[in-house]
Amino acid sequence: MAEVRLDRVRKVFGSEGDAVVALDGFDLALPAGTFTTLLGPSGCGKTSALDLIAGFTKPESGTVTVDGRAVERPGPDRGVVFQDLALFPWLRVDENIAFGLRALPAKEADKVKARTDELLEAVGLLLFRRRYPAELSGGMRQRVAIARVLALDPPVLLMDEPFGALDAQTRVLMQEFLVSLWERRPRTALFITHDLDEAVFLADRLCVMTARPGRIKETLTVDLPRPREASIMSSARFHELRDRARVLVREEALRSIQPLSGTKA
Amino acid sequence: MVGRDRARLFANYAALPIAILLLWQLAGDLGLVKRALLPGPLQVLATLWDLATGASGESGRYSGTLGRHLTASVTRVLAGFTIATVLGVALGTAIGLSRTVERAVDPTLQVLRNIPITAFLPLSILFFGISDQPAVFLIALGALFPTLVNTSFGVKEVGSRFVRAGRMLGVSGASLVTRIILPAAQPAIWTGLRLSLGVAWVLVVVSELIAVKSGLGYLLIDAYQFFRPDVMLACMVTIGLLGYLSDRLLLAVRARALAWNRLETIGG
Repeated sequence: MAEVRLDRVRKVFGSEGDAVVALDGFDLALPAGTFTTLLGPSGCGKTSALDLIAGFTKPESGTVTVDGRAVERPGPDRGVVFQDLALFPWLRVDENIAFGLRALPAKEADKVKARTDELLEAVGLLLFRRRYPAELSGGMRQRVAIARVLALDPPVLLMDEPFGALDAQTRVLMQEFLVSLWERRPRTALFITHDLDEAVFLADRLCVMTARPGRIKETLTVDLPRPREASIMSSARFHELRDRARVLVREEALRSIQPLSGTKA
Repeated sequence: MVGRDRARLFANYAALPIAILLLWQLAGDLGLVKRALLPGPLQVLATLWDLATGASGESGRYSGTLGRHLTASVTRVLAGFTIATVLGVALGTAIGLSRTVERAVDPTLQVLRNIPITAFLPLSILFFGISDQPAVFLIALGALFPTLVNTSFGVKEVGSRFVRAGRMLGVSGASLVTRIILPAAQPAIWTGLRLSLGVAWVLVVVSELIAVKSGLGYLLIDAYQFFRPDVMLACMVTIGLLGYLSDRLLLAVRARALAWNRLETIGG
């Protein structure tokens, strides 16, 4: 289990003159083994925060740590499921999933094979193992992307709107799938989304960000029981939490359309 | 496939070659060109057969020598093309990945590229003497540029998201190049290889005209000196067919390597 912390983080894009402050004085803590969802208006810096934890970018100031150690670069201890998936189109499904395993030193072929089979089964793609990503449906590709990351059993799992491109039905199925995977083996997770139902359904903690420069406006504790199934979405408590989140997000969405003075760099 | 479809497919492929052969034959029969200068396709075929087998003596002093010359040419093409592939992919990758490398070598390469490769021939004969080396050198140099330019272009075009995904999955350094960048850049690299192979066939003949005493180019110029247009034409046909076959072979390998890409593009 790993605790992730961002403290007083400032992240700026672009150079002087047209610089955009994505994050300023940003604090976020992901307690070990909890599932946090992140909501906020477009362009508020959600992805910037995730990229910092992943190690793709570095903050101008402030600290990003996992279990107290500063994040220096990307690594297999922090799995990322990308918005555009970024599956390797030249590799077949099983090769995509085994990709990270082969990077490990002294991994024998039969162990890689066994672990790959295990994951293919977990994501229900055994029959599609020799297909290329281009031959799969959207939901299947999502599952490959998740399996590719889970192969390395990362203590931290980062997901940037992974289900954004799916149709409503597939989306709910993927949410249930993710919940059951996570409940079987909880790990520190951060999940970015624009979908209120999704944000409540998956989360232990739901964070709403302010308009840019983003900060955490409020954190809701999602005290719905686990294991969760889609039927929980019709419960009163679910609606209560979702409506609360809706109000918070709406306030910030309005602010992001009519920015207050002083939010620019 | 139904019989009629097959006939249509055959007609699709064969119409133009047959038309050209007929025109070639008729041009002589109707007296439009002198047979002594342009032997007909049947004569050339007979000569070619004798060149290959030595069965009839039709091609005189050249009878049965085709295999030797063909092997010499193919060997040179393979050697030059292999050197060009290794250097072209390596250097192209370095240029694609690093601005520093690009600034350091690109102007030099562009100047070199604009000197016709044949202009290097006299110098390379002076340097290497009449042997395989000037031919292989010339082929390698000429075939280097298409692969190099396409590789550096392909590498620059590799999506940063793939590199991010690779690093996230624990890949770094040289493995990032071999496991992510080169596979992703493959479509462009194959385009370069195909162009390079074509250049290699041109240059093997050019260099054999002057720099070596064997190969199909040598056979061609020797037959010219002994006034054997039938041998010259048989030689040209052989070169054309070999170039075509090697291109088809390369395309077949490419199709295997790029099976994934065919799924994502309209041309396949």
